[in-house]
Amino acid sequence: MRRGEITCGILMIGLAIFYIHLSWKFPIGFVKGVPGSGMLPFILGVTLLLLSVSYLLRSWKRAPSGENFWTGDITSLAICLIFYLGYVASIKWLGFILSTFFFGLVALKIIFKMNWSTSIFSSIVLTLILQVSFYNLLGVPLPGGLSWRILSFLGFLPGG
Amino acid sequence: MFFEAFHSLLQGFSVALMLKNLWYCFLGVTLGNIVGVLPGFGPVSAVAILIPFMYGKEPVSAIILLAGIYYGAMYGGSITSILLKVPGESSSVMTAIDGYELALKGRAGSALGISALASFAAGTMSVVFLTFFAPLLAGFALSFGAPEYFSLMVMGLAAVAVLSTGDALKGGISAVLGIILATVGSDVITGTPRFHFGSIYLLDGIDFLVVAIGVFAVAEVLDNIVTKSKLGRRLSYGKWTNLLPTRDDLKVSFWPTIRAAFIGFVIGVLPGAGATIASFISYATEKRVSKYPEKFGTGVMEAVAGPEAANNAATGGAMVPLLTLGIPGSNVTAVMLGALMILGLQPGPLLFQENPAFVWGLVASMYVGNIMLLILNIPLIGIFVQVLRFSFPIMAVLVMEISLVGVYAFNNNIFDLYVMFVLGVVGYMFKKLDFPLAPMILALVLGRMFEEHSRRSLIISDGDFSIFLTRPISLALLLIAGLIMFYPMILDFIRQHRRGRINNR
Repeated sequence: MRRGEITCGILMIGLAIFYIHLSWKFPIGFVKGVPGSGMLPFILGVTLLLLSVSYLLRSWKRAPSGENFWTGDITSLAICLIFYLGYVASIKWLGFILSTFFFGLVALKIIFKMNWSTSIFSSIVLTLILQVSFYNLLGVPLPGGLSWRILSFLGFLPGG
Repeated sequence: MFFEAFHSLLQGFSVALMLKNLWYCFLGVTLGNIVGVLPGFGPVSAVAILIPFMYGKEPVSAIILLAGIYYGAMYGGSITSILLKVPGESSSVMTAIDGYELALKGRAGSALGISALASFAAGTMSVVFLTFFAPLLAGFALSFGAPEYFSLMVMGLAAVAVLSTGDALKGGISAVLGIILATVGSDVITGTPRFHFGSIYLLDGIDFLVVAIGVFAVAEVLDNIVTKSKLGRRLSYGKWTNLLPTRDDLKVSFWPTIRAAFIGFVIGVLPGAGATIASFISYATEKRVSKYPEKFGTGVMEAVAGPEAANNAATGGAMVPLLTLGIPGSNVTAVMLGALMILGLQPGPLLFQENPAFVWGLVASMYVGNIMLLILNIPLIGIFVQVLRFSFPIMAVLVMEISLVGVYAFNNNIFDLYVMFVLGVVGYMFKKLDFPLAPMILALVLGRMFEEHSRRSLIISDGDFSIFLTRPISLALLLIAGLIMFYPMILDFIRQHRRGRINNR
């Protein structure tokens, strides 16, 4: 875990320096009696830098615990993140129904290793529950995309 | 003053007992109960996910629903703790210790019954305290100006940062990151666009909801996927007999419940402490005052009644700073503060004067909600436990999909989904490294007000920073903040000093 903490400390120092650099572009002092837009961000950046350096030093001094940051099923995590990103990226053109169905299917089958029939059935049920609850009952305008065009073509929607 | 509060409360009941609000109250406490039962899906995620769907609803109905989820979850958390030793909430951890032992002895029914009764009694007592204590505090808070508000926020942030994990450094980093996120978008005073990297979506800033769902709900699912802690575990539910507690159970639980109601309320009022710490302190208190402390951990009814009563009383306490000062005392009330702002309300002392129907309607609904919870919990425990049969993979997929719909529905924009994704990963990393997330959310919610009050104060003082130290209330609040921040170091120093004296003898 120590290595994870050190990496986190370094990343936060980087973030703090980057934020100070950005806040420097705004007035830091007083402009006509009004504190400049960069004043608080600059103070926050310096505070984050100091805290991050303290955190890094504390982690550095600590004896290694033997516990690894990357323990557990990291492959499943990576797959889940990729699929979730794919879900977000495809939702506009694929539409809510198809993208939600595919995300549920691949997540249940690949990440959670459920059998095909359960995965397909559960994905269909989950998609339907969400579509009916949010779109039909709560009136949330979900992306239509390809899903709507297919439903239109099949005559499930008016104007198809 | 008390008569006035009582009169206002009666008016509140006329709002809370409207059929529509009764329905929202019922929906909230039922959802909260289910959420409390489900391990790994806390009330903060549920409240955050539901906020986008509060649009168009009357503010009082919306907040009755969200508050119902909050205190309903405290009830639900005890069910899995007692039956399966799986606390649905961190505040139910102490209940699990003796509750599960009682279940093993075949007394799960009595433990569940005592838990429901103690929760009801303490929850109701805390609402009574809220009824009479909140207007007093609100009256006092009317004398606050920009410097006092700034110092109050510093104190609130310091308390949440230190008390949420006990590690001031990690809490501080989390809080600073929260304020940094709040600085994205237009400057609150001059309107200058800042840190938007050319994106029009960032000009309005990052919504707290996107952050809350990302760092809580998404991060929780990711963590469960990696640790496999809940995967493949189809939770079974055991048998229980004698659902109603005996007269002896009621007798031994009476004083622990009363003590815990006070402990829970006071701790709930303090920013950053909340239900979990309240239940820990109640357990420790009961053990200390007990005639048989050695039996604690082997199945003692007082050890169930105390922590359960304390965590419920803390929810009423947490409402006091939220409604009177606009400073949330816990991560759930921080999310609720954001919800109130979305609904166009600014919690604070003026809320009692400008929107009495809202405040007292909410307070009255908490009385009604506690009665509903008792009715739900005693006869329907069996049905709630059935939820545990839902397998975790399906729950995980459902949470991810609901998170996505919730965030999308908020602004109808895909960009927010990417932000949520990134923050989900950040939340997961923070969870792994034991960084508290509550300070980040609280800081994000308070961030813009924090900047506004600090800069207003400096405008008033013509750039003189000593304004925060020359006003008595502001100075007192900053001193308390300093004490909270340096308290662990002071405690360490005293301990070392004592150890040194003992060694010298």
